[in-house]
Parts: sequence; structure tokens; C-alpha cells
Amino acid sequence: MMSERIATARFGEVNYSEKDLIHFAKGIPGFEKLNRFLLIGEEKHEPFKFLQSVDFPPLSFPLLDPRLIVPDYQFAPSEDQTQELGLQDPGEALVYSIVTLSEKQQSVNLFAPLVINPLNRKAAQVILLKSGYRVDEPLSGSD
Amino acid sequence: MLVFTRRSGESLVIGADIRVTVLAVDRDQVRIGIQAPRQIPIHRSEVYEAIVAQNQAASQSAMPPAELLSRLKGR
Repeated sequence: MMSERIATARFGEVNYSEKDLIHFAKGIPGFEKLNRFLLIGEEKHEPFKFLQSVDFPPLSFPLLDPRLIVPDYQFAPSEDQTQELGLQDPGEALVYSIVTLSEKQQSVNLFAPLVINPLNRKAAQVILLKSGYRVDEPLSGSD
Repeated sequence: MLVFTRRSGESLVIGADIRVTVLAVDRDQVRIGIQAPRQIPIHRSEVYEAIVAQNQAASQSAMPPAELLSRLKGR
């Protein structure tokens, strides 16, 4: 399969092929026109993973498993949300929280996780309206 | 912006399959009903905007993974 290359801000040059792409049909809020992403996860970066935009290579987001922050994190999407991603069972989804780590703010977004169906590679930022989780849950002192 | 004046019980139609109805008006509050296809997400604007703002804040830095890790451990 043909390999493509992008020049990213965080990782330098990254090679990918079509089958690696994750498709956000509606983009994500604030970046609605960006549809193609890569999920970058390397052992040396654990526990971080990264969502790297292919359509706009300067853009990437650090991600953490929300259960690292809240061990009993409840991912309870609506039926419409699971249907949109073709998920038979919410338990098969990959669920990640976007991390904000700057001088001003150290937090994770538990309210609107990124949800990927690993079987068809469809993804969306899913708003858990009834969850009571925060968009800016502070990262606390525990590693 | 298109501006309409509507009374309680009156509607607007957007395209073929979205209908917005003013259900009730009470001083400075308006109760609105929306009929739309299920795949069209509808949110209070402040909810959506909070997510936009958080996504933009998270995207501001292209900090290398090693530095992110040291910041995480440093907390």
C-alpha cells in the first residue's frame, strides 16, 4: 500500500498509509473541517497517546485514558451516538480524553471524550450530556 | 442573521426536515421545540462552545511527548 508522509509539529515527519486513518466525519468541535487523523501511541510515550491531524499536520492533541483519572469512569453514550459510529457495543470503543497541559491549565476533558470504533475506524467527539463530568477536570497529583 | 418575529405556537422550517417551534414565552424565557433528523446533533450553545474552547486550549501547544511526560510526572 502507498505510504504518505506529513510534516507534523510534534513528531516531525510521520509516514502513514490509508488504512491507518481514523475518520471523524464531522470533525471535532472547533475543527469541524478536519476529518482524517492518526492515533499515535508509542511505548515510550505511555500513558499518553496522540491524535494527529492529517489534513492539518501542525495540529495534534495529547490523550489519556479517562480511567487513569477516574478509575470508575462511565462511558454511557446515547443510542444515536453509538449508531453514528456503527458500534454494536459501547464496550468495544476506544475512549480517550483530550489533555490540556500548559502553564495556565492542567486538565482532561472527561465530558466529551474522543470515541473510536476500532472495527471501522469511525470516530467522533462524543458529548456525555447527562454524565456530570467536566470539560476541564484538573489533573491531580497522583502520577 | 435572519430575524423573524414569532408568537407562541408558531414555527419556522429550515430546509425540508427541521422545524423549530416556539412552545411558550414567559417574560425573558422562551421554550423552544426542535424537530430534526436524529443524526443532527443539537446542543445548548454554551455546552458546544465550552468544548470548542477546551479543544482549542489543548491544541495550542505542540510540546514534545517527553516534556509532556515530565510535566505529568511532576504533578
